[in-house]
Amino acid sequence: MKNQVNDRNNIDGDYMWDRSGEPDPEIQELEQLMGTLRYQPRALEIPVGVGPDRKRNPFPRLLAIAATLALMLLGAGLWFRLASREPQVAQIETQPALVDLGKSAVVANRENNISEVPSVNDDPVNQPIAHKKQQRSASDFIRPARKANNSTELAASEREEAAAAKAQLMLALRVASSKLNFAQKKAQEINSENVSHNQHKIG
Amino acid sequence: MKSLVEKSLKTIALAGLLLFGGTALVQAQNPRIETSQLEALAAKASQTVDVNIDERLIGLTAKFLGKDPDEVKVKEIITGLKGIYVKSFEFEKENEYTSADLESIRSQLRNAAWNKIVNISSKKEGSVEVYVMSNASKIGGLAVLATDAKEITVVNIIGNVDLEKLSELEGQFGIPDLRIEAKPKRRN
Repeated sequence: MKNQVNDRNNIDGDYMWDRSGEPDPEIQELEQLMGTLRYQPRALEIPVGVGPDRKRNPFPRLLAIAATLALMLLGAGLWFRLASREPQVAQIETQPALVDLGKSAVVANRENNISEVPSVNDDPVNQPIAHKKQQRSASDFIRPARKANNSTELAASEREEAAAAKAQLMLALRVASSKLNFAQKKAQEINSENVSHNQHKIG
Repeated sequence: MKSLVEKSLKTIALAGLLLFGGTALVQAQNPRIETSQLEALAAKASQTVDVNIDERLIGLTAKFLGKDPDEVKVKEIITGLKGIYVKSFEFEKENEYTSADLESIRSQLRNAAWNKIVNISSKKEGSVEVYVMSNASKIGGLAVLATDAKEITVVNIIGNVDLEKLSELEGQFGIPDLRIEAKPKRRN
């Protein structure tokens, strides 16, 4: 046993390194057994079913493109809508007539040496912050402002606009009311006709 | 990498569809009726009424209404409204408009959000259709489509409108009673 171990130690290491020395039968046997699994330099064969599908359904991609375009259009639409609203807001915020009225009131005040003038607009309803700031800057010159009655509170332009809107509103309400009345009366008429018809049948 | 791109594309597609669906739903519940398709009739009409009052103008008008009982009534009606739109065309001759003109309005009112509450049809006196859009227990919008041989009228009120008060308004506060009454019944 000890000799065998010594023999193995004496085997020429070159066979293990480059197969040039004395071959060891055990190693040869192992080589034969494992030789089937050795590296073979050949191209990888991909099974038919695993390869990339060239006839792919283009629908999801088209759908995604359509959705992206739709999102872009929607965004653009929203942007345009917001952009179209901006001038209205600006119009409300600036209200030049209101400021002018305040300034003219100051001028008239100085000319007439009146210390108090009615405030331009004390109604806090529907007044944007910028508007209030402008009013405050005008009223800084005016000094103590007194609360005026309802008719003088609104600016002239605002009043004109409101008067026109009121006329339009009345016209709209008149039309709506007359049409509703007509529908109501006709419905009642039909209803009463049905009732009398049924009563006639029963009688 | 490809699967990641595919997944993200699918997600975008889904998001787009959801967004479209949401937008369509919002559009479906919008009580504003588009009447611009009727503009072409203005050239044929002998009289045109076009009223467009948005929420801001309603608020402005409400400030001008005083304490007179009639004005208070009008104020009560317009409080909470977000828009009043009326478009009316009167023609000198009959058949100046076609059913296709009305279809542009009716197609919008065929939406599930609108409920037709009144449909009066008379060959002599014309027809009136009243539609209401309800949000929970409140009325979100009103649409009236009245047609005659020589007239088309579309009324669109947005907001919580009190129909009773509105119909009572005729003949009050400078709103003349148009005396549109039912004709006496024929007795055989």
